[in-house]
Amino acid sequence: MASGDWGNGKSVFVTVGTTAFDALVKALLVPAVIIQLNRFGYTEINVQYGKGKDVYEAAFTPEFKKLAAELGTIISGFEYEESDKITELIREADLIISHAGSGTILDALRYQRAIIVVPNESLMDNHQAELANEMSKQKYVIRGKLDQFTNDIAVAQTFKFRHFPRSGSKRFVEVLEDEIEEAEKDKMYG
Amino acid sequence: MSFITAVALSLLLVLLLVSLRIYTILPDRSSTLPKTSILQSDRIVELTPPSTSHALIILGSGGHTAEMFSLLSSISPDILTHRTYVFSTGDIHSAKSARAFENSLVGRFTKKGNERVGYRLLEIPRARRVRQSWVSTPWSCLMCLVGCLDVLRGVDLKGMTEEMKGCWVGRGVPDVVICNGPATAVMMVLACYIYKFFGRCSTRIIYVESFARVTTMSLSGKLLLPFAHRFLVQWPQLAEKYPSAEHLGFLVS
Repeated sequence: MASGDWGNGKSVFVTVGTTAFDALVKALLVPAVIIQLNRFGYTEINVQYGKGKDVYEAAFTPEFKKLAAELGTIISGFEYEESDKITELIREADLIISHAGSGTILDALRYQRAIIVVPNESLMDNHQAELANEMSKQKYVIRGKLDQFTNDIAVAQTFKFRHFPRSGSKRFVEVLEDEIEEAEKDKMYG
Repeated sequence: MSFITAVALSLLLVLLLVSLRIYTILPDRSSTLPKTSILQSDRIVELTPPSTSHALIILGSGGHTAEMFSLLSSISPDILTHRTYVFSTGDIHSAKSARAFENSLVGRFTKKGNERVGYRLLEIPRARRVRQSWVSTPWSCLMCLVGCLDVLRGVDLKGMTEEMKGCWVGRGVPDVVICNGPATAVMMVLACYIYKFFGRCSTRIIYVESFARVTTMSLSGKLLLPFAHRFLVQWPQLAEKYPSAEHLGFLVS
């Protein structure tokens, strides 16, 4: 089952944003999930854990390390990086598992990556959950659940992700140019 | 038999050409509507776009800034010739993003003169930090407002190179302000309205609510709803809730 081929496996990028999302890191770094990922050919897991370094490190029990070694899964983690570096990591990954930050979601959609979105319920401002729900309703993303990752990962293999329209900025620029003309008229006629 | 086929085919061809002709001479309603309204107005309107224009772009923190540059990603620097970016004190990330965006425009100029205009990247005091107490907020907002008024006055023009100054003098006040959510935006719009009160500017304000806002409006959005000339939301649910908002679909990409 273990592919063991260095560099040939697919990669997963996990990102929690600038705060911490310990529940996500905890739910991911468990035997069942990495076995499931391995089954679908994912042998590289890169975790951006934000302010949750303790939780990330605590996941590496001797048994967990042994299992990862047997599977040939390479797990690495880091706290945070500049946003263009994060964008780069999203572009390079085969599967994104992410908090519901709009920046990450848009990056994943721009590069047409499979993305599982889990809103951080512990955040006060919960409009992120709304975004995740609406985006999954429209089939742009998969709305993941912390206790169902193995299932979500299986779903992601066959899910037909809808393409996000690329015309957004053009539409905005039309509005902008109309307003520039309006401003000119206002200047001329008061 | 082949004669009948030939007749049938030629009849079909004639029919096709006739209907094509009828189709092309039919009036195009979508374009005649605005045209007649311009003719009926009592002023003659100049329709050629202005050769220079100045936009003031307000950068908030992380998510807001990223979304702003997504909105702007297809602008033409030959139409939007003067660009001023405003960011809050200490927000190095936004300043960096603005520089990166300007670098991405370099190849897109078709008129060399426009490249020399350059851009302004200005720092102003933060209106309100995350979790700042509401007691000290009025003071920091006032400081921010003073910073915004300085931007409109063009205080920074003194420090410009002679070449750039030539392009910018008298252009401190922007034609359009583009904002998408941070508290700084509210202060900048307020500053514009102070100028408007004294008849000193005809700046138009474009507000774009964040893509992350599906059914609830941000506080800045609620405050700016009556002041923006164009108030754009990216989800139909929000447009339904706030009828004066415009929904044109997603504006980020």
